[in-house]
Amino acid sequence: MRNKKFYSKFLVLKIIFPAISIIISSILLFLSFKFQWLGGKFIAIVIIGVAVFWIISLIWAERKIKYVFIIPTTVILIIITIIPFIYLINLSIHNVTALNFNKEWIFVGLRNYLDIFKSTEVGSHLILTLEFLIFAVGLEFIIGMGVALLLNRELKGKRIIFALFLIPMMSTPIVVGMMWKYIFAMNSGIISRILEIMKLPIIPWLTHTPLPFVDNIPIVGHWLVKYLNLNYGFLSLIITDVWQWTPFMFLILLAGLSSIPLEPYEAAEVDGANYWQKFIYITLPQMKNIILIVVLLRIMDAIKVFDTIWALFGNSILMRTLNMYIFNEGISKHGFSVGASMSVLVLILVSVISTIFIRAIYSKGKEK
Amino acid sequence: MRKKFFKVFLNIFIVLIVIVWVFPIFWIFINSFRSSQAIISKEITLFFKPTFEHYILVFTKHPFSRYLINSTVVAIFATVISVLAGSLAAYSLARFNTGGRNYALWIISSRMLPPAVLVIPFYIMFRMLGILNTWYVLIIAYTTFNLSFVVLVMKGFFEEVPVELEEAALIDGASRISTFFKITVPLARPGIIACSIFCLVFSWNEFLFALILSVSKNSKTLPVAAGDFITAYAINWGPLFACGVIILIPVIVFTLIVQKYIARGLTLGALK
Repeated sequence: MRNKKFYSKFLVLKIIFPAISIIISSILLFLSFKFQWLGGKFIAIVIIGVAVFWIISLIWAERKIKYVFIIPTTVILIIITIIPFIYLINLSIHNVTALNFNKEWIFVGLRNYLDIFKSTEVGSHLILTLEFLIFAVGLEFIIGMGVALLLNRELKGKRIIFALFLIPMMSTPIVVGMMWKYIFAMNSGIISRILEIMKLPIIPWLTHTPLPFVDNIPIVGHWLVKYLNLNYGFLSLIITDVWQWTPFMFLILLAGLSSIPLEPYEAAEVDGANYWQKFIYITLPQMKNIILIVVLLRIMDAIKVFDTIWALFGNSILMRTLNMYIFNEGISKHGFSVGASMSVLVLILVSVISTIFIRAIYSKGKEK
Repeated sequence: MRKKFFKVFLNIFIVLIVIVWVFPIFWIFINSFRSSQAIISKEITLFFKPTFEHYILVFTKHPFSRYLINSTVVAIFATVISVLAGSLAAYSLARFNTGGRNYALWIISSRMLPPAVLVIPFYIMFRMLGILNTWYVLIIAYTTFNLSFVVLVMKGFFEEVPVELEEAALIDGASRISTFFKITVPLARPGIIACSIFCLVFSWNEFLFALILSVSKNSKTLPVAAGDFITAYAINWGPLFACGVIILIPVIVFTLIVQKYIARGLTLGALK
């Protein structure tokens, strides 16, 4: 009896529910585009119908309230995740550009993906993206952890410091990018002015001048600069991102730090441990889960970065992450299919990274 | 003595860090009141006669009042939809664990979706429907990141509301719905307010969707309008700063309101 119930639940959750949602949404999509239904009235009728049905069921369903409550979110999630996904796959196996957009779409199979794998350009964009993730998130973690350790004690004016730190994180990324573009500017930028007053050479921020200390490394230096983008432009992008997002790391790490119980530290002090030993053997293991979560969140946001690069460099080809590549190929050049196949690949990259982290987080939870 | 010296040194260090993090914002505020020549000149003066020319120019030469309305309306509608639908779902998830881990993972994965991935299907779909360059498109697009955020955060807040209070109401004969609206929602009100403000700020800040899905005057939002001042040939710093300040003021005000809940709000409640 119990087994049967389990199987029915399993069936509903894992097979029937997703299958029905995918089938219904694809039928709706097909019909609407075939007969051009979705223009105006059809959408309104569907939305009103769903709303009326939902309100009626809200009044009647006392026992099944959990399903009624979850319906609106599920409907919206289907519209914003499953339908675009079906569409994305459909686009990526056809060859659709602005030219044949309103005519017949030519089926090309996996050729778009093969083209992406063959092109050398995409490789350098991928390297830039991964490098940005590693450097930016790494630096943010180190600085954020340092500041959190500094401020994890009784302090006058802690609230004011907190409030001031919050502002960069919430400010509009495009404005932040512009602000830093002005600060980095060669003539009127404040950094150049200060350097000039101190009689130091002016640093060419936002350009592709290689970093001197890397370029001067014998043999490999030139190679590093060429393939790993170690130039001032990349450095200024990292600085901007670190400025904006370190407060996020700091806040969550501080919340984690203040929730660690004091007993282990006291025990370690009795044993004569120094500051570093306490940090490595008590603080880090206790914080492992929060560190994983915050790094995961930051990686996800860093993959999304677009506004800052747009503000700092415009659509410069040397500063193109995978996001910028999708935008440039898919929207600017109207190569919708190329953009769609790239989007699918980015999606795979994102899900691989997040699966690794979520596994790590959940497995830690089980050990406890 | 040495310890005291160390403490003073640490405090100076903290002050320095805070200055580095505050200075750029302060700098954009100051510069929005300087004249165009002063902005690109080599002198740095902190005391000067402020001008409001850039603000006046932004509102007279460009239809900025229209952009302001667009941004506000889109942000408010996206927030209302996400908070309404999201908190109902969050309640269901928190109390009954509806859909189990799969549903939670679905929501988390939609939080992680990069907007760049969604931009092309959205563009094609909305172009076929002929509703590009309207408010609707942006409202739909902004629920992609707001809805999952609300569900995950509100789930944490609802889990903290004691079940006993709801059970008492149910025993007294209240229906599930009136229990939710009369008992649970008032108790979780700080969470709902914080969530709404977060959603407002996220929608207000959004750039990529707005850049692609709505470029006409009727639906352009403020961040895109700010981006227009950077052209291929020159950058119009003065109006750009004025525009930046106009965008930043509400964000800063709202941030200071929610600062108490910010750390909790930004971690994924479900993973904790």
